[in-house]
Amino acid sequence: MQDFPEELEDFCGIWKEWKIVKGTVPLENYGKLLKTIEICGEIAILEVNIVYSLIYRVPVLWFAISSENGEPVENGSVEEFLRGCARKMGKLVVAKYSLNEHPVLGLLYYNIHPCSTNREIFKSSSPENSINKIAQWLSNYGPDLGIYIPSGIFF
Amino acid sequence: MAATFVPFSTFCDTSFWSEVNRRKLNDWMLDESPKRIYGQFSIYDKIGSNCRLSLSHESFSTSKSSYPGSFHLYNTLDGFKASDKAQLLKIHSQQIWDSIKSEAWLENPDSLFNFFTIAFADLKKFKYVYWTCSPALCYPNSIGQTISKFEGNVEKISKFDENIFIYTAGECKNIKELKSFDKSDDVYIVLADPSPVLSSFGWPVRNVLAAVAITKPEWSSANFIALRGSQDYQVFRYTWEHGIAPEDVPKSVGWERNAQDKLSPYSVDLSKQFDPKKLMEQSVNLNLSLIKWRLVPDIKLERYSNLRVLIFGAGTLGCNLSRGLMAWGVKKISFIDNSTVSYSNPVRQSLSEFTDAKEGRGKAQVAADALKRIYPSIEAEAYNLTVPMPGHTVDSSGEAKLAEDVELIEKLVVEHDVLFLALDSREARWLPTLLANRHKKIAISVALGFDTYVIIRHGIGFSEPSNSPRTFCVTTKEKVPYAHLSCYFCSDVTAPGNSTADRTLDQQCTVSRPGLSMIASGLAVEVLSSILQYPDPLEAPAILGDLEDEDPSILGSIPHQIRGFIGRFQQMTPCVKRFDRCVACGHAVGQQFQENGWKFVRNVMNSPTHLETVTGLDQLQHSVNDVEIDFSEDSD
Repeated sequence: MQDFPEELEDFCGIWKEWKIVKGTVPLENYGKLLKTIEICGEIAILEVNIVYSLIYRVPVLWFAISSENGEPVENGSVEEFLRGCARKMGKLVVAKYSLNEHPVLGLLYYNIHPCSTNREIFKSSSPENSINKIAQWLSNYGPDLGIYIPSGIFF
Repeated sequence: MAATFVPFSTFCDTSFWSEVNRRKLNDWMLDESPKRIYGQFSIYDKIGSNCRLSLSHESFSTSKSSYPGSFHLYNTLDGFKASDKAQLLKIHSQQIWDSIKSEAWLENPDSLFNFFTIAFADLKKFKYVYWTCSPALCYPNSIGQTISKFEGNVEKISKFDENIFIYTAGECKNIKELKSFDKSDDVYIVLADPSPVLSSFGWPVRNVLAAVAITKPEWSSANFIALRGSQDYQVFRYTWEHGIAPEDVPKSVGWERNAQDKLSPYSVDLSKQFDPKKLMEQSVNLNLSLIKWRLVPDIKLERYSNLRVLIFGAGTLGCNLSRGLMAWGVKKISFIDNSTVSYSNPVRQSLSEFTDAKEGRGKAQVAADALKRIYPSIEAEAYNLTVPMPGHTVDSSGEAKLAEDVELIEKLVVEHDVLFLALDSREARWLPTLLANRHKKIAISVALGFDTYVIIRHGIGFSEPSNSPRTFCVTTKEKVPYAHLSCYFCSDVTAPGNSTADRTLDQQCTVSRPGLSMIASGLAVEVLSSILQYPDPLEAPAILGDLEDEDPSILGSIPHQIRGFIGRFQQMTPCVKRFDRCVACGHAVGQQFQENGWKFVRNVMNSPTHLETVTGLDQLQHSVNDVEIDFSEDSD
């Protein structure tokens, strides 16, 4: 998916809750969303990044959850949050995630493993299929993190 | 009703502090002058009771949906504390006031949102204190609000890409046009609103209100549209007490309250994010937690992390055992070994290197140091001492040292929960076996032949005096209690009944196929991991017969022994009951040690009639029955 930077630009232009963070090269640009959430009654801030993976050649969801003072929450709260998201989808298993170095920031973030990403979305480049590819992809994988695309903005 | 405004709460994410660390070290150094930053806001939040002002690594460059502010980083905590907060608030409020009075705000509305953050960063401990102030002028007075639904053209408003603008007669216009309106009811002021609370506008509206009241002195009301992500726009109609504009800056407020609703700085400990040691700890713990969350929900991980393991022998087995234990989250590992790394060792012993051999360093120390290099949070200890062995004679001059060594080894056994017996000679396992039984510790023997290996978990405690004969491994489904299982020495006197291929495995000693050590160590670690998941690990039974039928532990079966034959790539899991007159775990031995302590050990070491010493020390098995009989005579 070499057109990731363009698709991201388009995506963030339409869904303004997302901001583009510029990397040193366009393929390092990533989309960023900050959202106030609640985990077991506690207010927390969820940061979600859409980062392009040079290895898998697909977008990957990276995320961090911090309490209001900016301190990352415990692993258990992260698991609890993901369970809540899975429940909302009617699923019993949470997404496959782990703790890794963020490819652009170099800090420890969680990521959803891209191995199960459906690549078909990124293959189609026919002009009649004008729906943003990142939006199509996110409509599949965003709910793992409680991210739902508002109806009507892409499809 | 009286108007209320939702205050700001600053959210600095990890990347912000990471950027502060970098700039402080490389660019600013001791420079304390304020730096320009941009605080992002979001109009999409619906949860919480504060407007979020977010700072991240990109906050040092301008971006959309952000307010300009300044960042004051003090060099010391005292400097941070001593800073004149009232004065800082006054200076920033004055700037806002000047912008309002000069009507510069119409050209540059951002100047109304003049926030500043003061901070101190402890770059050694990665602790940060910070406090943000978003000054709001307390003007005009007696502000009241009524809320109604916006009935106009939502589409136009949502497409107009500004943080503040006006809406009049179905059109959006630049805020500059505000000047030209005579009546406040002819115009809506649209303002991006980060408030998550439906019934209150966010903090930014306060200075806009002040600006409108000053710029339009004849007005005593204004209509604001709260621009929020939901597009369910609301109109806030504000009214205020008409008055004469003051010359000087009015009173202002804006220091943030912390989570306890007190006016005080925030503090945050990011050592978990920036201290590499803690980063690793966190990652290791997460990986283990994933086992719990994904695969074995009932697993008790603390049984690994709280475990204290003593490994006799820091050779190829000891090294590999410790690595497996470390990966399970075991934090305390001690090694006992008396030898130094030789040139043949590093290729097989996964914790030693060429230079260790060159410098002739002790194996235990080398292994402990390597563990700490691999995982700094581990507590690894090394004891360079020789385990007293039957047949290795000691004269009277060595007795004091022997007494000392026995005492130290016994102390170490007491201080640990699990013992691995991975010494290369057979007789070296005798005293550790005895002590493990004496203190009811889990003891696991691991031994290698050339192409065979054995792992045995020793029965807990000494045997009870009994006249019943030994039971051989058969195909019954009998559950053998942990306390009735054989030790390394019992099982050697007679071979398990269902294998003709069994033989003493360590006769060939250290010459073994190189892959064996990893296999055997890995299995031994996993036997322990299963034992630990039994409700009471010291009670974990083994099953005589087929292992598949029952799963005593949540990790599956807990075999008593594992015997592998790599020549045919076969493995079996016999279960053998203990021999009540065993030389290491029989009750007579226990009694002897109880009564005579190190002197008993000395007698065993020296007595040629008790243990055949002629050929040495690794021939214990040939005289095993004699030894046992002799012991019985002693105790008589």
